[in-house]
Amino acid sequence: MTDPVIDEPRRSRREPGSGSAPRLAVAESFDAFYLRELPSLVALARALSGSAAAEDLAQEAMMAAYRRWDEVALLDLPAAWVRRVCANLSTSLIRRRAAETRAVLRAGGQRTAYAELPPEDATFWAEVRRLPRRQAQAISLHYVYDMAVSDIAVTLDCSESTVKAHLVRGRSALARRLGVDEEDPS
Amino acid sequence: MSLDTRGRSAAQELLRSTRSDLEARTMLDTLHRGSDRRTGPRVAVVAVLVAVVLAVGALSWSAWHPGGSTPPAVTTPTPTATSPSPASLGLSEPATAVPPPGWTLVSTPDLAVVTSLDHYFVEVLVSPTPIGTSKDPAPSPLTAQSLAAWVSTHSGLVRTAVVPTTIGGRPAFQVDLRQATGAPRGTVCDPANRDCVPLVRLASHQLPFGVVGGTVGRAYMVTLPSGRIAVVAAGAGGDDRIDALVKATQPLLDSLAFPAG
Repeated sequence: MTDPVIDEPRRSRREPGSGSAPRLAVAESFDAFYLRELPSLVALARALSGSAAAEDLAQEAMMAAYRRWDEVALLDLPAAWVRRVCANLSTSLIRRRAAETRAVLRAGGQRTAYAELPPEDATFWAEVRRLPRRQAQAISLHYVYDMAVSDIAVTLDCSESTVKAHLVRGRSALARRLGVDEEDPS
Repeated sequence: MSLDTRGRSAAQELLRSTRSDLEARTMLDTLHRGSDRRTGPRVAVVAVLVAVVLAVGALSWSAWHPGGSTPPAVTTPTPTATSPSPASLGLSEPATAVPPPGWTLVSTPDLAVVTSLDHYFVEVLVSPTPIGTSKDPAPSPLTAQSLAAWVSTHSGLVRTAVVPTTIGGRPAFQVDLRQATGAPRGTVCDPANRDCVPLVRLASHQLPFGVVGGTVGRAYMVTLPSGRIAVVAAGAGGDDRIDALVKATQPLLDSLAFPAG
């Protein structure tokens, strides 16, 4: 049975003879990948879901990668795949509720919590989470990973024009709600 | 201050506080301990054993720690290749169900959440507390029937009939849930701040439970053998078709049982 939130990793398109130079598929160990990617992945989950379930959501995304590591490791960008899974999990109402339940359980009925963000930063992310799902994902990737449009498109597996549309709409709504200018005055 | 300045600052703070509190090595060890690489059909067989052990463990924990700390998380991958048998929902009240193939269970003593692989879920909330407002004062005295009547006429929801029925072998009151157009919305139900109409709280959960915009639900208010009230809620994230919801969740709802302790 397929999971609509966790898409199957697609094979690298950079096959020998496809126009780009063949490259050796040197797969990174999962542990190294995990330790490098996890902090920013949890931050992405926090941005998109709030703090209560962030670790569980990031861990679920990593678990998905672990179970498919033979395939994921050979992707051009394994990190993009796991970030996409994490972003989709974090904006899935059901997955968040389940992850929150696990988090509450683990903490003995108390929510696990990170150090509180300064109020204006907490407000920023709260407003990001109020955006439509795809806009929130694009904005979060843009700021958490400092990603350009092309990188966001690869991560979300959509076209650059789609990402641009999400960013334009999301940024406009965010600026209006936060009462700030979209661009620095030049 | 521009949006980009604000965004970069918020991201830096988010990353900084995450890195300082995160125990990545511990989480990696946990992942290794709790995971199985893809092993095909073997997973289903292992899942049966894991499910039984976890369910029994949770039950035992509840029995030995009444009102105390909560048991370890019960996440039960439902086996697909075996005959289904009722599994404990891990609640503080006797409750069992047969989750359909692919559905998973997580539970606390007062909340069981059974989710499908797509977007359907069934939640069992034990001893919920209605969130009363000046416009929708909490029902008093609180009974399954008064709770159903309160929900059915709640100003934030489309008015609907209360239908007497049974759930888990107990008399119950069924109410369909859908946000009313122009309903006063909060964003407190959901970690992602989706708009919602909050309805009830549970003692162990900070977030209230309510009806999220663009979704439908069906709730059953029931008095358990112990006299406590429970809400059984079927819902779908991002779906507003009640017929699809009913079709997807009915097998699970039909399998529910609330036996006397």
